[in-house]
Amino acid sequence: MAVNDHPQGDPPRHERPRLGCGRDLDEVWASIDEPPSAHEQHCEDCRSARASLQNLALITGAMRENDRVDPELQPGSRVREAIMMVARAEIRRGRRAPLSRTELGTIDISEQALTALIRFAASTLPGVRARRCSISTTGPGGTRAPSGDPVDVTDVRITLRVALPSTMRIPPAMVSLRERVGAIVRTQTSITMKQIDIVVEDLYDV
Amino acid sequence: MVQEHHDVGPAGSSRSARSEPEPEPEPEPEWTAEREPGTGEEQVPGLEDLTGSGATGAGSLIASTPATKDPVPAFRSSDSRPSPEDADPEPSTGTAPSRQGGVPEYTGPTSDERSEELDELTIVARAQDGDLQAFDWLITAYQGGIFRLCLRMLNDRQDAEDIVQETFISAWRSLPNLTVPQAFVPWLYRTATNKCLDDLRRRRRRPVEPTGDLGSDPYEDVESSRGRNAVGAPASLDPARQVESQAQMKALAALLQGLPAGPRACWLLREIHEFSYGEIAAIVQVPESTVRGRIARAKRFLAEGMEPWR
Amino acid sequence: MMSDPSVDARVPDLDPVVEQLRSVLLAEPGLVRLEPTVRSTVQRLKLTPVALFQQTFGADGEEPVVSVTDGLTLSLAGTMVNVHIDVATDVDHPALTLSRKLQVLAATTLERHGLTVGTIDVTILSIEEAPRPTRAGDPVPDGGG
Repeated sequence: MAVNDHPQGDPPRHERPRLGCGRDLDEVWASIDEPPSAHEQHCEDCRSARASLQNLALITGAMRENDRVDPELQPGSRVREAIMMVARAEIRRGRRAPLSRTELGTIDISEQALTALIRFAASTLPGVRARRCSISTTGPGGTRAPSGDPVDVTDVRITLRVALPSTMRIPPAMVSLRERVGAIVRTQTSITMKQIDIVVEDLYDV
Repeated sequence: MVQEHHDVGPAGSSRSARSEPEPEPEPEPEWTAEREPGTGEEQVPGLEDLTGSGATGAGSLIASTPATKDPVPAFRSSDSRPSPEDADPEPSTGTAPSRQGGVPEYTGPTSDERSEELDELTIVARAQDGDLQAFDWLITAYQGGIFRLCLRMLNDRQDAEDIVQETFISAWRSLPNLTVPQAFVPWLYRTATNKCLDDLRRRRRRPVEPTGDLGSDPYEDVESSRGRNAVGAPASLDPARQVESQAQMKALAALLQGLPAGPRACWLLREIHEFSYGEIAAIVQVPESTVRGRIARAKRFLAEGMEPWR
Repeated sequence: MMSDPSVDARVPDLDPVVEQLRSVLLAEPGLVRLEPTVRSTVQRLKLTPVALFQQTFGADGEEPVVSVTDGLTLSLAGTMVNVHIDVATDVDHPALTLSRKLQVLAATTLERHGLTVGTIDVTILSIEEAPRPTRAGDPVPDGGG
């Protein structure tokens, strides 16, 4: 078939499939949903190409719709299980924050659990969508501790990114957010955070 | 005492003193250079890297991702009621943001949010921070689309499932480094497409490998493996049309296997997964003009091949 | 090599202890689950004997780990049993308070089995809302369609 002249490589522009009348096949395709142009009405090549492409478009559309809902065209449930098992197993729980040393042993919390808790706390305010949250344990301008080092719980500073409803008044929302986040983290972990930076990175319509 | 530190920026901007600097655009990774799972973090390219020479701006990707992608259940409503989760996690039509269509509720973290529709950027952001529930949601939203692309590329269920698995595990490891959350979906498709092409290249090097071998007769090849692979069986049409339509789709699926891998990938991404030319250029990492050429050739090949079915 | 009698003699059978420890801990209100970690996942995937041996008795002089299951690692240091517990907790229960309770429960359970308690460390890997009845797979309510 004509199009197999360049089975792997890509032909230069002038070698792209063209009809006998010289038109680019892409052009015919582009106007396939419109009534045929004057040229197309009279050109045998274009008429035939249009009919052929319309036929393909029809079947392609059927395939597209069918594929989406065909239960056969879904991966088996084992795929998700395998992915989630790996994700669970190697969840980024790298850094730990030591919370307490009792006479029996230590209690710590993973950084990931702590950021999740912060997002949870923020999301208890209606409309607040907590996004990313990072924890730094050095002062402003300092560099973040290496990933292996434990979080210094006496100096926890966080940056939380949120999306808010466009109708929300931001200043009072910031006050409530800081209070809420600070209180919930303290209740759960006894950590009193040094700094809570909140970045409103998106406003969404309600 | 909490030190007040107002870093509140206007919508869409972040003026935090510590907001990350724009990353250097990374060199375009070769598909061959991709690390095996388990070797540690992979760098995820930023959007600039994903757009390739087709250079769509961030804005266009943001705008088009939820609207045009086949697999974005959360942001569409469904006319038809969803089937069970694994059978149909994706609604077919509609535009209103919603979270129906058989997609599991994104339940975390609060009760408030459960009744609320979360935008996808928020979900991606949470997955980036290691939120398993958010990641699980993303799997539900996109595994079907990725699987179908791989299945039509490889014509082998098992291989397609393997690539879905590898792609999402790779995504999990790469998410924290993804600088532009909007790039997540193109990144998924790019990773999966590369893995498919990689797989096909490997198959070609193997001397005897009838399944999916592009050198063999496409009809015979697909027909012989159909029972096993079950590529394409129409779900619901009126009985009379169904037989004909089923046969046509079967024929198209078979024909597809006769297309070279490059044009096949481009055609699938455009016609089945409804990406724009620019997005496809970014996914397969060739110039947009090449994408157009490939798709045009694919269309001609397929249109001619489907002639007997008119 | 796993049946080397000298090794067997050194390692008490901790299976019943682990089993009871697990049920005692999980009965505590506020503990959502014991969290699988890389170690327990690897264990579950059934490693090769050599890897398993290293896993079990320590690759390079670490204390021998005698039992690894999801969220629970028991290891021996001399005659003492050390425990590491990885937990997911319910946000309705303060995580730190709950963790302290779990330490005590674990210690009591070990003692009841006549074991010497070494250290009992707890790592909080997740704080979340307790599982709700409606979850993925349930019919999705109509709304906005």
